[in-house]
Amino acid sequence: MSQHAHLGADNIAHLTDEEKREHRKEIREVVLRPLRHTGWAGWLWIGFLSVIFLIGCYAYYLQLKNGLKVTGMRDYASWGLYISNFIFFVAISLVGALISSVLRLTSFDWYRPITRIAEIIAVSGVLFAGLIIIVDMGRPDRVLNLFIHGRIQSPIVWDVIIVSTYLTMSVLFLYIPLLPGIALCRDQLTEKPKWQRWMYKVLALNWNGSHKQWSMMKKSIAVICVLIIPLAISIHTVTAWLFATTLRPGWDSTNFGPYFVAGAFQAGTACVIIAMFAFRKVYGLQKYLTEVHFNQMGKLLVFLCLIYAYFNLNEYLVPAYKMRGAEGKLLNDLFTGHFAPLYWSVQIFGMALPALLLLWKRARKPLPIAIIAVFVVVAAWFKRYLIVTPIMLHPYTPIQGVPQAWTIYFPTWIEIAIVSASLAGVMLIITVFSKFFPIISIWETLENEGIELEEMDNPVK
Amino acid sequence: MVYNTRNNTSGISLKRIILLLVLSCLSVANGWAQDTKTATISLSYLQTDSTKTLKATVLSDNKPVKGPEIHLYVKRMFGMLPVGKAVATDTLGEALINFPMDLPGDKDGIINMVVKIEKDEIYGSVEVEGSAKWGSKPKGELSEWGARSLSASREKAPMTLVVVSIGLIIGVWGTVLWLIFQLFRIKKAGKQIKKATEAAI
Repeated sequence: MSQHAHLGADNIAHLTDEEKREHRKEIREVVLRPLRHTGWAGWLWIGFLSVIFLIGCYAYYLQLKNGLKVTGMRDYASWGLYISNFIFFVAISLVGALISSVLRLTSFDWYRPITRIAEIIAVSGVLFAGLIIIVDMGRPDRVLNLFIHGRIQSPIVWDVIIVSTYLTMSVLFLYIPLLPGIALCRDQLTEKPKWQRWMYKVLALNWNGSHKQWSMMKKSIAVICVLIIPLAISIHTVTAWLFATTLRPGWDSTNFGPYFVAGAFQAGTACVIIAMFAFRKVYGLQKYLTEVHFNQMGKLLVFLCLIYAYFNLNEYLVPAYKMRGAEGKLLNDLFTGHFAPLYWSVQIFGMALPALLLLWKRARKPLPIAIIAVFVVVAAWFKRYLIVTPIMLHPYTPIQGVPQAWTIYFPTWIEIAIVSASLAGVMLIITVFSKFFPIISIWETLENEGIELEEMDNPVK
Repeated sequence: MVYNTRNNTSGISLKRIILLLVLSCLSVANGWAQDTKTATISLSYLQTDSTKTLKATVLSDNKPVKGPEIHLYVKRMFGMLPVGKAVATDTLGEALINFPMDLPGDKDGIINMVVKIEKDEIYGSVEVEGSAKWGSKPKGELSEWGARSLSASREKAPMTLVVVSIGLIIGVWGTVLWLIFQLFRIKKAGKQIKKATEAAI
């Protein structure tokens, strides 16, 4: 019977009630298995991430104690690794809206088992985006001043508003569809410690799967689905405007909003593919995260790579045709100068090759596509570095009368440690979440297979 | 022997040195007190159609002072802008400094100036402030000083931007509150069903 698990409503319709019950029991057992037991490899992974995170915390303590002089940032390169990392986190957080909302509203059904993965990536991404901005502040104790004294005319204030709003909405988008899953944990994971059972009880909000509760939950999800799309586009467009409203070569572009959004969808989709592969392999979810999902995500990634390539052409080719003044110097530095190896690696391995390779069905199998997605994500991170750093070092007014060291930027170990800690923090949140809550949305998967919502909460003996 | 002589000489020299120092200090102080005089600067603003000239007159004991160099500065937002080169006063104690025709003033065209004698050997440092409506009035955005604009302070943000922003924030956060309210309703609905089930049992 388990072979029917991912085949959809048509194939499960012929099952008897007893077989459906067995099917429900099986999916619940499989999805709850990682919550019941954590192996040594799991603990090792959590320990590894925690150590990186703690090293980053120590590095931040040193930065707080000694000030931003411990970083490689100076007068000209006043934005560096932290801001690059901030854009990357905002970018990957958009995937929650793409997978859970756009695909839902456009009536695609294959997305259902991966919604939760996309949503937890979105929440952890936007959370660390907010934190890394505070890390970039010389005086983090003054962060409240942004709210108290901020000017509504400033894109920085828009960013503060939209990041906090998107974080709140993403948490709700993760939590509300999770209610039946939490209730399942409350009812099934009775062997867990008292505090954990209490947590499930509180978070489940007395969920018992009544028609009224399903109705309210689905209505709420529908509202979030509609609202989160403009919010997601806004968060990355406003982030793009932080740059585009600044008069600098390379940023002074009307293309920046959609260019950032397209890149964000591409990077986020690649992140989801990697997470899908990891959870499938480690948690044994092959029946629910199937080759069909990887195939579809591969096609989606090709589409997004091509869109991003189109925006890249606009962003670089048009000014390169003119090669005027400071912009020309910047582009020369990117195309043939100091940043050329990184620039071409990012364009080729992060965009052109993935789009080309994924045209073949064999490349859309789980392992090949996961490897390709790793390249896309790494390239996406360095792409953000290229959007920030070279531009800071190519202002319109020439750099004069400053020490030679100020004319270049290379991050110090403190910046690298803090950024590594933030990346580890995102993965830690995703890992810990998957040890407490079902990483696959059981009800959405079952609903996709034709199981009625009211049936789902019948106790499974 | 040599050592003793040196020793004696050293003792005598020390007393002499102290004595000389005391006398020198008294002498310098006396000399300084005698040489440093008080001077005053008065300003006149001379204007024709095509020139603006600042006349600084230096007097000491009501007598014109010849020689000290007059420096002119204009007060700007973050410091003092030196205007022209220093001009020494003539036998009448007057120094004429040409003032630029195109220096921006405040919204009324007023320029605040500082005229100085800097570390003069006889008169020390003397300073006087003055103002004249000699500045060009700012054009464009600056002439709308205090008006609502993107570059103004937070209290002077454009009304359209304020209304649109507040509208969007209320709309989105209103929805967030509605969603939180739905969570309370879900919880309440669960509680009611639980009670009904318990009552039925």
